[in-house]
Amino acid sequence: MTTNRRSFLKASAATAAGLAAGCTTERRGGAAAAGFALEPALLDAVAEVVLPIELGAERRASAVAGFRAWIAGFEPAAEELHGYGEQEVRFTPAHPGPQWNAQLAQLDALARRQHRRGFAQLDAPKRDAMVRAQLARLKGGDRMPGVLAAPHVALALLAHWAESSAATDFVYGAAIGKDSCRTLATVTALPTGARS
Amino acid sequence: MSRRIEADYCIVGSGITAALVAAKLADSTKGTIAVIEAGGATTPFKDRTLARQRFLDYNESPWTSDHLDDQNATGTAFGFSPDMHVGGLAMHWGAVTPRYSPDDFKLRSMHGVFEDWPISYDDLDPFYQEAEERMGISGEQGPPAIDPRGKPFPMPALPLSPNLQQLRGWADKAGIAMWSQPSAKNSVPYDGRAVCQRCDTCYPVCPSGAKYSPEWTLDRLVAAKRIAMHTNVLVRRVLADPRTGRITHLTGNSTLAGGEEVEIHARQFVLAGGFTWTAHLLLLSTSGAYPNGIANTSGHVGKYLAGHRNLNAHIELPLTLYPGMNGQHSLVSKQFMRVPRGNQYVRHDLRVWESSVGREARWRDEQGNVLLGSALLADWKHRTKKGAARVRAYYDVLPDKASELTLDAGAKNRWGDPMPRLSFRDHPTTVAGRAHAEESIKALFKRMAAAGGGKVISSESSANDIGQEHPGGGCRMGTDPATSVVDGWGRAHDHENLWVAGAPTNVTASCCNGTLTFVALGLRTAAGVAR
Repeated sequence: MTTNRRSFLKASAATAAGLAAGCTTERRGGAAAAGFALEPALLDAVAEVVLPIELGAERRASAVAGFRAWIAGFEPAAEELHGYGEQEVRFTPAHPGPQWNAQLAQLDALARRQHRRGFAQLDAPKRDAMVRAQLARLKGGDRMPGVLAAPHVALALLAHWAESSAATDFVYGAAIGKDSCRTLATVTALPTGARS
Repeated sequence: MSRRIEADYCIVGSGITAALVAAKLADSTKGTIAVIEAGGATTPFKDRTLARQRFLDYNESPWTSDHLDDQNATGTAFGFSPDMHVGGLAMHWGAVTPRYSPDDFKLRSMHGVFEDWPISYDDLDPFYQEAEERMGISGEQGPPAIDPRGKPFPMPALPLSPNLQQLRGWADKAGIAMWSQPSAKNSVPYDGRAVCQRCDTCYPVCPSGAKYSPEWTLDRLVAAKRIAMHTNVLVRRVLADPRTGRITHLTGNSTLAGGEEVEIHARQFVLAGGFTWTAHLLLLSTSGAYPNGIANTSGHVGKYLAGHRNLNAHIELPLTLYPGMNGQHSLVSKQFMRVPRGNQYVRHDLRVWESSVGREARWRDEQGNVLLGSALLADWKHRTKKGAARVRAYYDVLPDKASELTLDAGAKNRWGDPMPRLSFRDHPTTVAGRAHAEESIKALFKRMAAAGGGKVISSESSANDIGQEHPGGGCRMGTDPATSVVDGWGRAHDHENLWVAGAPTNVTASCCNGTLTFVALGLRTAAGVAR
């Protein structure tokens, strides 16, 4: 994993400027999403230390790919669901991508300052310690935030995985298929793999 | 030059009550029917799979064209009052369809509190049945003594997941009879729509078509040329001939650019725009002959807004449950909707769901240490060793006359019409009994937890500052024209060709979800109109 820090920061700044100028992704039947990308090597380096090693490389890659797709598909100022008890129409906030990229860049810069190597080049214990230090400074309780509300990219990645159907199945060791449309005919049976 | 709409029957609104009133009128009369909707078309069925995914991923609304920005209520309006598009608020609904209990219609006679409705449960039973058949309800009957019905449900009950099977066993231990919650979701293919695929997003969007929503009925009626659907027309006034009292026509405007004026002429007028906009329209319709608005000789339009509150709790249980099996489906009991003789008045329903509260991943432990990777996984797995149930009880809230909708001069739409302001207020009987009601329900939750060897891990009351749930009233029915707006059929006491359908006619709001009752009342009104 190598990171050209200068090109990465330049790309981040350009993307942020594009967003400020009103560039947004397409949605719902429009053209393919223009997308927003987090710096891939740094995100992978974070994923290696925040996602459980028990997932294995394939599941971890899938989790990261899902998070990338989520970011690429996000649309700022989209109308949010107005639930019962709410009279106000609310809209999705500004794109979190620039801030998350800035956090990745900050991790990288800090790694160079502290260890004279880029974040992605550090061994796992050092990366783990750096991410922990960042998260330890955050306020709030123990609850996993919603992805959009995550104050740090590491937590956003973790929250995105923890919300997923794949994570639930992995933790329960059963093919529950949360959030999937499934036949009603099998609802009375325990999910495959479940402890009976 | 204004646009003129003419029909034999005019229905204002296109929500769930309006759609089924239209269907019944189409079946039982030969007259022309105009349905008037202030909003536009709803999200097409073909787009709902993608809309569901956007909702799951980003909390985006699947119904982005469902409101007019300048048409909104202020005050404590539980619910999304500006919901204006074809299908109304029932495009969002969870499709939970309990009937009220017989006691609801006879509170004075049976329990010595508040007032009786002018109709009984038996009067409404055939219309409940008709509503269940027209919408397609899956259900099973509870014990007949507390859950009477004339005929079986049109579809078998939604089957219980292993989670709900275990939770029903737990409820049995606590001495509570529970059964599958009746729902407007297909347990088998029904009426040309698919069987439920437990996508678990009934609220807010069903991508399979298994959940009933009003546009199914309206689209079919439009295709058969049995109704004319007029979208983007906001009705702003009801006009009557002061000599005869008959409604002559409605006036309003296009809600599209230009705001073209519109007149609607009909023989019979049915107001089916829900509890907020029906009373609002009548109050707006003042004139020299009707200084208090239309249908308001009694001064009761907008009064006695009725709803209910709830208490809910999460209970940890020594059960292995798998969250996400069919999470929006629940167990229900009507056991507590009848007050035992000699007991203080408390009535509530009871529902039980699987829950993931306390079973989710977390990123800090009790000491505040950050959990990542393997440590997070181990912690999460440990937390799933026990299961959790969510329990909730809606309890009866009797309405005060001052629980009311008024016109708010400080909030106006683009035409200068004051918007509705809602203020719920409990009847003194409820004020006096509220603490006892809530303590009784909390004690029940504790007893249930103990019966299962578990514990209550969290509990909360519904927030009173957002009004009351499943609201109705504002044009309540009654036999006395001095204290009510419409008769037992929904016909205005003051105007022989004006009808109010559904939620606004409620005298009380029971202690369970109201939509099925709103529709049944609307169908009864349609029967009256057709007569």
